[in-house]
Amino acid sequence: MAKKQIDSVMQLPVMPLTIEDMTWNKTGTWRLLTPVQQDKTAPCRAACPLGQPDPQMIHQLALGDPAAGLALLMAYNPMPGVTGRLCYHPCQAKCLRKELDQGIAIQSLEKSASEADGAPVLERQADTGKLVAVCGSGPAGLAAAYFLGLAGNSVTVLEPGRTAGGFLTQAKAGQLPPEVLAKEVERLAQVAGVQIKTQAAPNFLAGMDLVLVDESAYAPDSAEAKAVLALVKGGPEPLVLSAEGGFKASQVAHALALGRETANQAQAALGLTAIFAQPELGPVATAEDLSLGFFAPAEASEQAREEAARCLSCGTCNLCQQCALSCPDACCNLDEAGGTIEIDLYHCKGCGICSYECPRGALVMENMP
Amino acid sequence: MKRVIMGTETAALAAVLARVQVVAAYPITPQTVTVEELSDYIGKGELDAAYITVESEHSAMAACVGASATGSRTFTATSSQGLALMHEMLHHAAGGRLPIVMLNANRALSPPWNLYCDHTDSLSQRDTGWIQYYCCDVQDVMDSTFIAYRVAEKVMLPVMINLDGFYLTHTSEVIDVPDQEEVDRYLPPYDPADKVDVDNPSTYGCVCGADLFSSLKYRRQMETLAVEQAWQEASDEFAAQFGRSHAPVQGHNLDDAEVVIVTIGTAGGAAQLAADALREEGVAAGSLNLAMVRPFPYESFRRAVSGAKHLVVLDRDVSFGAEGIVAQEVKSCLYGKSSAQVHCYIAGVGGMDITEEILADMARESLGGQKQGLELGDSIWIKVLP
Repeated sequence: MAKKQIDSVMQLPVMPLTIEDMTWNKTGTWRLLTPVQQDKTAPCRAACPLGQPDPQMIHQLALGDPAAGLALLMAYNPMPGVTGRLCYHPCQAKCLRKELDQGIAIQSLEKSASEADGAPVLERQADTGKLVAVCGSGPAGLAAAYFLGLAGNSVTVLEPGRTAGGFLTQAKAGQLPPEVLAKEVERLAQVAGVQIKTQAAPNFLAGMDLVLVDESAYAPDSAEAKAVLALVKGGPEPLVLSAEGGFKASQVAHALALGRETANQAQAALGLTAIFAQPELGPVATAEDLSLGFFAPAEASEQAREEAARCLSCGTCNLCQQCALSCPDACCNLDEAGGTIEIDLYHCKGCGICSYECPRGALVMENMP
Repeated sequence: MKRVIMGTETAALAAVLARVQVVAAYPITPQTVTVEELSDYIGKGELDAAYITVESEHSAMAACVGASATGSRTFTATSSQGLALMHEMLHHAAGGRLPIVMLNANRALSPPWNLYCDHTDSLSQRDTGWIQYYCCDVQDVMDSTFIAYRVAEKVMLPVMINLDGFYLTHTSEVIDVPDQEEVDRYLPPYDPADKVDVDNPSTYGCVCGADLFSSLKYRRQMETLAVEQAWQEASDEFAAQFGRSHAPVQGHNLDDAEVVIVTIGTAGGAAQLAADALREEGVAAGSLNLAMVRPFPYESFRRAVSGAKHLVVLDRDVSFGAEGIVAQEVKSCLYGKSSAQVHCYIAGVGGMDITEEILADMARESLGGQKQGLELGDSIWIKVLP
């Protein structure tokens, strides 16, 4: 927009009021520092063995959309209903809300998201034509099967026992009811298109492109293990999922992480690209990054949505729009369609108020024009 | 309707009849009665207006600025120290072109403390851009309030109506109180072209660069200088409807006057009597009540004193290091336009009474009579210790 031309005194307003908007004035050329959204990693996420995006998941719960929260979790974790019950939740130990009052009940919220109706639809890669068998259905084996399924492989899990779940079937019913475990297994199979056969004899492994063996299901020197390995002789070297000393029930997230990592190794063995790309997590947010003054004390709640609303979303933009409220030049604007804050760099003078005011330290001033 | 009524009560009643919509004021002697009366009128529902209580005069004027910007007819009242505290906001009101009307009860500025009449308070606000009108009697308080709103809302400038502290604020006189219908006929509702409107957002008092700033000031000066004419017309229209005139310059026996006593405020009455007494002595004397000080009514004043040889100017004020402020104004108006001698008398500050005799003696002295006071700089001080 061009600046309005005024040719005579009588064209001026009587009252000194605005005669036009100021968009013609490209004040962005004055800028020395530029605000950039640079999400830090929330300490809960950094502490998670699976690196799952807890603040983002909790934000969806706060918005009243647990299904969206579940979809976020299942991109990282095939069994959130299990981890939401058994995991030793190192996330909660790091919660920065404790600086203000009480930490967030992150595990309860994870469990709550896992109880969302239906199964999320995750992107499944095109069919690779590869046949993969996973022997043993412990959490590591199931996680490997899940991610390999999402990668477009035809995956079959062969569980010699009656029930899928490996050591999870040994968990106390009070902690993990069998029907919950069954539902979790069923859901991950549905999401990733994995076939799970229980009481299965490993008699068709010869035709497989790759075999994975979950040691938590087969003791290393057991007859079953030897039988499986004997069957794949002549085929590709099987990948063994093993952890020294095995896993306790509370370490289920570590078992799942092992399975996820092995899925990537399996992809490489199959000559395919890695399926799970470890997200690039920035520096971990600290209490110093937060402006705690923005947050009112709020008591912990049994209601998931209320509890979720207490999350500070440390280091992570949750579209609170404090920057938009604070910007003296209306340069920070919510892009509702994109779910992002757009910064109008034609007019942003680089004053830094948005960065200073960001309650969660997600906006930084970069030394660039 | 005839009524015996005090100056401060009259100011409140005039605001009611003018149907003001917002009052924001802080009480101060000798204006207090006006504020009390207005809060009563509004509290009892006799005036449909918002009364904004404030903690200071600065806030009072700030509230008036905001209220007026929304297109409301706005009124306030103050005095002396309160007016001084408003100073910053006075510039804002005038620069914002907001037609606020304010009563100022002229009172001395401290220290030393003194509650009585003195014009230094309002005259030291000359350069804020407000129209300044000085009332000579209680009827003038009533009538000039209506004229003030009519002029203010036409030229989009605020008006300060000045009442001599105690001499006018606390004197009761018989006056004619007009009917509401008559006032409504003279003063239609205020409906400005521009006002704060959430549906049509605009910044009031926005930033302005050097490219337009001087042009805006030039236009304001042009429109302020035109106020003399606008007030004269509004006064003529008022006279046509009500039979009373309140012109910027009010003369008495000026046609052939060689010596003219120039006053502002209530001393105008004593000045008329002094001029009449001098006439009986054979002196061609007249008096001039300078009702409007800002804008200075150059045309009317020069015309009124065109035949005079001596102007005796009473100043109830002093500009320290210079002289009386009214005398300065008169000299500035006549410089290069008249050969009349201007005699500056500083008298009646801090509530000292100005009698007909004092004014007549000043005129006699200016014609070569006995010395009345102490000469200091270009002024003569009356009734000071030697």
